Amino acid sequence: MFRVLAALRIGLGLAVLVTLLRWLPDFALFFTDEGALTLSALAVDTPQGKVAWSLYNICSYRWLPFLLFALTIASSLLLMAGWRCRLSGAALFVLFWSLQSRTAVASDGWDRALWITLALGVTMPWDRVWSATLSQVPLGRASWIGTGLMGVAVAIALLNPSGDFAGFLALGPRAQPLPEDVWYVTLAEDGSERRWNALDRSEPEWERTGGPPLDYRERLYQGRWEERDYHGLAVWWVYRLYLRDKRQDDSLRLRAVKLYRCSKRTGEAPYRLIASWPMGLSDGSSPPFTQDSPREARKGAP
Amino acid sequence: MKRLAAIVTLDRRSLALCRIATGLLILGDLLSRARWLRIHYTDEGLIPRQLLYEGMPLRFPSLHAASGWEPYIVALFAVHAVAAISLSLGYRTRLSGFIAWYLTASLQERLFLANNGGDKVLASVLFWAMFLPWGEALSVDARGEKEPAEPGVSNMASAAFLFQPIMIYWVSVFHKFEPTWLRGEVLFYSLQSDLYAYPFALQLLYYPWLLKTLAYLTFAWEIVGPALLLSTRPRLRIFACLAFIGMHFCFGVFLRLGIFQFSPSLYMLAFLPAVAWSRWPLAALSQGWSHLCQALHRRLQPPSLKPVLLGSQTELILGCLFFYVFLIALSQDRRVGRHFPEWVQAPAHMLGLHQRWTVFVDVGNLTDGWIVVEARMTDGRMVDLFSGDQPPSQEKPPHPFRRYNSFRWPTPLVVIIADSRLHKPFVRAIALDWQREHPKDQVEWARLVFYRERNRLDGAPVPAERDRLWEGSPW
Repeated sequence: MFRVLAALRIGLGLAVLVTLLRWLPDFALFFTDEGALTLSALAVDTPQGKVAWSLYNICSYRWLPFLLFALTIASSLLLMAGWRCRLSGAALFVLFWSLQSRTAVASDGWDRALWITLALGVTMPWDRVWSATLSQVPLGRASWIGTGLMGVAVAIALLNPSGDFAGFLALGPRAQPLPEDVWYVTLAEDGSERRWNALDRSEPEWERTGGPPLDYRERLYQGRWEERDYHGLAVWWVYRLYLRDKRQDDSLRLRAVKLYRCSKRTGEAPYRLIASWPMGLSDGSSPPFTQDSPREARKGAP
Repeated sequence: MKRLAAIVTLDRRSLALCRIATGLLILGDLLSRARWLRIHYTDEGLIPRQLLYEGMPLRFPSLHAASGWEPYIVALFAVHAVAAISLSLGYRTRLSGFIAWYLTASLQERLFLANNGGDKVLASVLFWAMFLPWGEALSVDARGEKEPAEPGVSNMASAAFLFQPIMIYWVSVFHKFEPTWLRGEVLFYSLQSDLYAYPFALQLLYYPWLLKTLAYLTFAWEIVGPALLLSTRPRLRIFACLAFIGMHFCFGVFLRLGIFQFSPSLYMLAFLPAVAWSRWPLAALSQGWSHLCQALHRRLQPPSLKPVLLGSQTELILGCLFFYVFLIALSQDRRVGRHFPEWVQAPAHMLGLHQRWTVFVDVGNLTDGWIVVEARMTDGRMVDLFSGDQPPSQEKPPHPFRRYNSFRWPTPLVVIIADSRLHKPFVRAIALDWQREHPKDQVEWARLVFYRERNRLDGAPVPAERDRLWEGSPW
C-alpha cells in the first residue's frame, strides 16, 4: 500500500507541475497586477473575491506573485522527490490554493481536485518508500484520524458550494462551461466605425460553426459570463488587454466595449446586447474608472 | 569594553517581566480592537481590500489582508490572543513570541491608518526580544525559575533593545526643534484638539504657565532621561525607568493615546536592574508568578528549554540592522527634505521596523474639528450616523466620539478627511454599521461633513468652517 501512496504522491506532484507549466506563458497576464485581472478588480467584481483567501493578497510588492509562483514549482518538485513530504506537501497545498484563489475565475474542477487531493495527502503516510527523506515515524491513529477530519472539512465545503465557506476555500460558484450553441462577443469600438473583437483584435465572430473546444483561456473570460456578476470583470479584462496592445500600437483608440450574447437556440435572439461600457477616453492615458469601480460604471449599461 | 557590557546588560527577570507585560498588553489591545473588528478589518469596513490594492500599498506581508471575510479575521484574532497568553506565561516562548510579533505587525499593517507611536513601539519590543532570553525566567518553559544561574545578558540584541527607546526619544527630540515646542506652545494646541484631547483637558488651559513649564520639562527630560537609562547605577536607572513610565501615563490621562500610554513602559520594565528584584513589589510578584508557572509546567510538560545563544554573525547582522533602522527613523522628517528611496526603506517595512518619531510635532497645524455623517433614511428621517443624533445637529458636540469611542478613531479620521478616495468607503462602512444596529433603517443617501476648527493660543472659540467632503448614495 505504501508504494501506491508514494506513486500517488509522485503523480500528484507531476500533475500540479504540469498545470503550473501550462499557466507559465500567461502567468503575468493572469496572476499579477501588471496583467488583465488586477486584485482590485477581482476583490470588487467576483462574488468569491470578497472572501477568497490568498497569499497573493498579502502585500503589494510586484515581485511577490513571481516569488510565490517559483515557490509553488519548487514545492511540487520537492514533493515528487519526497523531501520532507509533510512540509513540502503542506506548502504546496497552501501555495497552489493561493494561486487559484488569486484568480478564482480561471480555475476549474481539475484545479480543485488537485488541491483537495493535496489536502488529504498531507495527512497520509505517502513518504514511506521512494522518498528522499524516508519517514521512520511509526504509523499511528493520528494519521488516519487527520485524513478523516480533512475529508469531512472538504465535504462540508463541497456541500456548501455557493456559501462564504466555499468562497473562502476557492470553491466558489462553479463555472458551467458554455453550451456549444451559446457564445459571447466582446465588441470594441474606436468611434470611427471601426469594430473589432476586444479580446484578440480579430473580426467579431457573429456566426460560429463548431470550432475548437474551450481551452483554459476561453474558460476564463466566457465560462463565467452567463452570470451577471462577472460582467464588470469582463470589462476590466478587455481594458487591460487594450492597454497592453496600445503599448505596441499607439494609434489604437477605444471608445466603448459592448458585450453580446450570441445563440443558435430556437426562440432566442441570434445576438443580443447585454451590456455596454462607454470608455470615455481616447488615448488610454487614464483608466476609464477613475472614481468608480466597474460595478458603478455598469449602472449606465442597458 | 567591560564598562560597555555592563551598560547593555539586561536582567533575565526584568526581561521576563517585560515579556509578561507585553503579552498582557497585546491581549488588551486585541480586546480593544475586537470591538471594531468588522468596521476596521473586513471588506465592509473603512478600508476594503480593493482600496489597498488601488494605491495604498501594503509593505509588510499582512495575513490580515489575505481575505476580507469576517470569520477569517476572527480566527486570526483568536490565534493572536492564544499566542499573547502563551507569551505571557512563557510557554514555548520563542514560537509564541514569533507568532505574536508577526500577527501584531500584520494587524498593524491591515489598518495602518489607525497606528500610533505605541503600536510601533510594541512591534519593536517583540522584534528585538525574539533574540533575547526573555523566556528563561518566570516562565513555564523554565519551570518558573525565579533566580537563573546567570541573571544578566549582554550581547548585540540587548544593546539594540536598550538603544531602541533611547533612539525613539532622541530622534523625537531632533524632530521637536520646531516653533511650537521651542516656544512652549505644544500643550496649548494639543489640549484644544477635539480629536485627541479628552474634554476635561480643557481645564488645564486656565494655567498657561503650567502648560509652558510642562512642555519645556518634557523636552528637557527627553534629552536627559535616555542618558540616565545608560547609567550602571541601579538607583539612577530605576528612577529613569519610573519617570518615563509616569510621563507616558500622565500623557494618556489627558489625551486619547491608547496603547502609546503603556507600550514604551515595556522597555522600562526590561531595564530594571537586578537590585529591584529583592524588594517589594517585584519580589512578591516573582514569587506568585513562579508558583503559577511551576503548576502549569507540571500540567503542560513543554519541551526542555534551549538557551538563546547568538553567533557572532547574528550579532553583527543585528548591529547593522539597528543602525539601518536608526537612519530610516532619522530621515522621516520633512525638514530633511529627502527620504531614502523606496527600495532602501523596503526591508524596514518588511520587518515591521519602519519607524517615524514625529509625534506631537507641528501640532499648530493639526487637523481639528468634528465630523457629521448626515444620512436620509428611506422613510425620510435625517440621522447623523456618526454621533447618532436625530436630526443631525450643526452645533459642536460635547463628545465627538459618542458612538465610536476609542483611540483607534481619531487618527484614521484625520487621514480620511484629507484623502478623497477614503470618503465613500468611510460613509459606506458607517452606514452598514448603523443598519446592523438598526435593522429597520435603510440609508438612502448620505453626506460627509467636516467642521474644521482653527485653534488659537488663548483658547478663545473660533467659528468652525463647514466643509462638505462627499455626498451621494453610499451603496
